[in-house]
Amino acid sequence: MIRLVVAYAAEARALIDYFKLKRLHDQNAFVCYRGQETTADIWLIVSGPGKLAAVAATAHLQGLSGFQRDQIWLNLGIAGHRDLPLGTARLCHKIIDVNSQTSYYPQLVAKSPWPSETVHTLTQPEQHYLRDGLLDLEASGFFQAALRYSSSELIHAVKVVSDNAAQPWHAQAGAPSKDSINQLLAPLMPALADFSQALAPLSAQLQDDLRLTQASAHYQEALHFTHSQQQQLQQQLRAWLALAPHSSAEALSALHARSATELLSQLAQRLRQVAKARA
Amino acid sequence: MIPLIYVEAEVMEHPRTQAILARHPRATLVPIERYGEIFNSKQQHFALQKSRPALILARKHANFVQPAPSAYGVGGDANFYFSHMLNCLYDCRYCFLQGMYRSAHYVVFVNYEDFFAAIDQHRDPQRAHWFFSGYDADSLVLEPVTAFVEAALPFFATRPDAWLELRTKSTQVSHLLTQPPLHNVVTAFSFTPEPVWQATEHRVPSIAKRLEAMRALAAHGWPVALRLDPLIYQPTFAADYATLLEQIFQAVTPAAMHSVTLGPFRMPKGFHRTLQNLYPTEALFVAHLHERDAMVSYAPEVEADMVGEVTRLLEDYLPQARIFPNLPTSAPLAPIDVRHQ
Repeated sequence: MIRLVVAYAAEARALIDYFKLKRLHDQNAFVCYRGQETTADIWLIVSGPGKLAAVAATAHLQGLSGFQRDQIWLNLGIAGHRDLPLGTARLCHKIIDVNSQTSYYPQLVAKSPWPSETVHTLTQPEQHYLRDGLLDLEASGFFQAALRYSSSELIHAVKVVSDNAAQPWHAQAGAPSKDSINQLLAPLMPALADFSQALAPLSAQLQDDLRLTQASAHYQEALHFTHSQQQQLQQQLRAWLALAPHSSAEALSALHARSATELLSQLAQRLRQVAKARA
Repeated sequence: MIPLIYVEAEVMEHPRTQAILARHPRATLVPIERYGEIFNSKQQHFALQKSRPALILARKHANFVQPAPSAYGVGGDANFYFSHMLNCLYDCRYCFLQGMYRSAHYVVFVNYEDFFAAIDQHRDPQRAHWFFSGYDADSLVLEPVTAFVEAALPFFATRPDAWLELRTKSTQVSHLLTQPPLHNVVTAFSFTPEPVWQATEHRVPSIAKRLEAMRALAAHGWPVALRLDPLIYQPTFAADYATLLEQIFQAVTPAAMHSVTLGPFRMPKGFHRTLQNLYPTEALFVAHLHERDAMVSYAPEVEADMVGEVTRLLEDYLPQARIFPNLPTSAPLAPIDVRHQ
């Protein structure tokens, strides 16, 4: 599952077109889209400008898309930079919240199609380009919020330079037009899709084995477990899979017991049998 | 190739930092304040980072040299360890570092001179004091990056009473082979039998290649040693260790072997739980292990069998005085709180 957060509708356009996303008309708090790319379920939210809006939108999307942990989160948007030419794309390796002076470090484990750069998240746009790195208004809010739901290897900000010291935003004729933003972001889409695919196995590595999820749900529907017993159940099912990796969900779910205690005892016995068979 | 190097502002201009950066011109440099910002962050995943670790260059501020656990030693009068590096290039499933650290990035503390000064403070010219360097990292595998041994040899050359152990699973001995041997610098190679190496020691060079490195060092006159820590249980462990020892003592004569230590696999419960979460399908963390007090280990009779059997096998090659079985009754090294160093 991929979750995309952008600030402006114009930044969403290229994503909507490339990934063929559909508007979720029942959503009023934020404009949201959803679509399917090969096997990935893609969600997009338009936060509005500013880091607080980015925090709120990221949290909203986490709930809307089912509260699943350790999914891929991407913040895409335009940014300023002192020197880089317009249209240059960068992955962010350090996000500095200028107001709080807090730094965040997205972990660059997946190979990136773009070089990486620091981004400074400002509260207000600055007229001068004095800082080393990119300048935006959302990345720190996005990253700080997404860190509650995923691991820092799976959360990234990708920025495209829309203004620089030679072509400053305040000297351009008004705000960048929707068309000009789309022209900056659209060429990025194939690389963004590749990057998402590179992140997918990392996210998959952190998801529970489906067989374990199914067997655990099966037993919890049938019997009452305390919190501690739920943890033991997970632990024992995992151990079973570790010792007998080819076990099916049906095999894991095949025990019959009258209580959680009895089931856990049966599982412990089964584990001893499986361990003995390995020896 | 190291893709990214985080550098603490405090050591940015350090000559060792500059030398390392010069050797990695294609790596992206990210300035940071303190290495703990990255290394100790909760929202990161050791196993994911292991596929593409970054390098962190930092300064260590305190606790340069620590006492080694009481049960550990190779015949010296006092034992200490130090960690100029944290983490390792290799990916051994049983490694306790995965349970201890949140990050798989390599940390190098570039202020080696402060470590040497602390070693001087712990030295006693009247007694043999050992300084073990391979607890929190492999001592040699990143030598081409760190040049630590290059810096350490002149120091130990002038302090014959201070003994240095370089513990490794690597074959990075080229610098040692260019230097005159020192009696007090012992390169200790860790081994497990072939089936365990194949199943658990990912990216570690083959036994044959490591034996070649060990043989070359011994032939050059450097003291070498053998570390069979941890002993990993397999139903065929006795035959497997017999084969391994035969391979080892065919490559290196018993006379060249400084010492052998051996001890069974065990780790604190908390580390074990972390490892199980990192690698839920890893049978090593489930099969034959039991919780005992604060530790996860093999059953006492299995531990005693393994240590006894391998000790007996070793006695075919070496005198008892050079064999140091470690059947611990207490916890290994306590986890270190790296946030305050």
